[in-house]
Amino acid sequence: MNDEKKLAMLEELMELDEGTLKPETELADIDEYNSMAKLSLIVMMSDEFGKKLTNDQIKSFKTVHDIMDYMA
Amino acid sequence: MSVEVIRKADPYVFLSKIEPDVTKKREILEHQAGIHLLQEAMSLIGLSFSDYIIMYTEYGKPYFVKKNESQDIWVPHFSISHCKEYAACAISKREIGCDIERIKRIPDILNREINKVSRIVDRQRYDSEIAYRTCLWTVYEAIGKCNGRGIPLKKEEYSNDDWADLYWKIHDEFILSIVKQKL
Repeated sequence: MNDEKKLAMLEELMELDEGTLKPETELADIDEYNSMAKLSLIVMMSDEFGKKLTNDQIKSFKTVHDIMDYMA
Repeated sequence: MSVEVIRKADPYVFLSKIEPDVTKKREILEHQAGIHLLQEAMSLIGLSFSDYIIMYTEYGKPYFVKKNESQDIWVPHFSISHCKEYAACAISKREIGCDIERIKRIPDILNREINKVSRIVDRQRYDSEIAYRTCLWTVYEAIGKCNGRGIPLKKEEYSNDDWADLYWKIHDEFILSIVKQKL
């Protein structure tokens, strides 16, 4: 999966407009990256990528790029 | 700060409006509003915030311990929630969780998760699917706060009958859910 597709998935998950997210965007600066988005991320990782994402891993994510790396 | 008393008995529930402040990051503004509300709420039920120290569990759940162990005061459990517009807090003698959310569309990807608490929420109380689903979400979050391990909920955390005195109030466009542990 390419980076554009990953960004699009994350934008949809956080209900952001297309093109809002950049890999270097700090997650702390995204109001929409809230508990609902984090739980959606856990479900998406499980359903789409077959990966079990833990809360500790979520806490370690600092930028959008960190999540994209995990989606690889 | 103007505090609205939602419930005057255990669990005590309070609400305050968050005044916008463009000089502060939203996360910080909401956090400060929550702590400020907790301080005010405690004074309204005869407790002094300064008599306690806030500690955190390994999962990050905050709790009080007495500053002076020999002081004859009860140690309240508390839970704070905030959305963009409101801070809410609940105080109880038992473990408690609260969550406030503007009524909004809950993403379909969360269906499997929020439906885990559907047996707790009375669908008939809500005249719209969107309000009902928002309530499911707030109850789900409140259980995670009450048990202290957060979300996602594990099966043993939502499938038992430990959740008692659950109620929720719609305050204009918002749903506030309270979950309290049974004795």
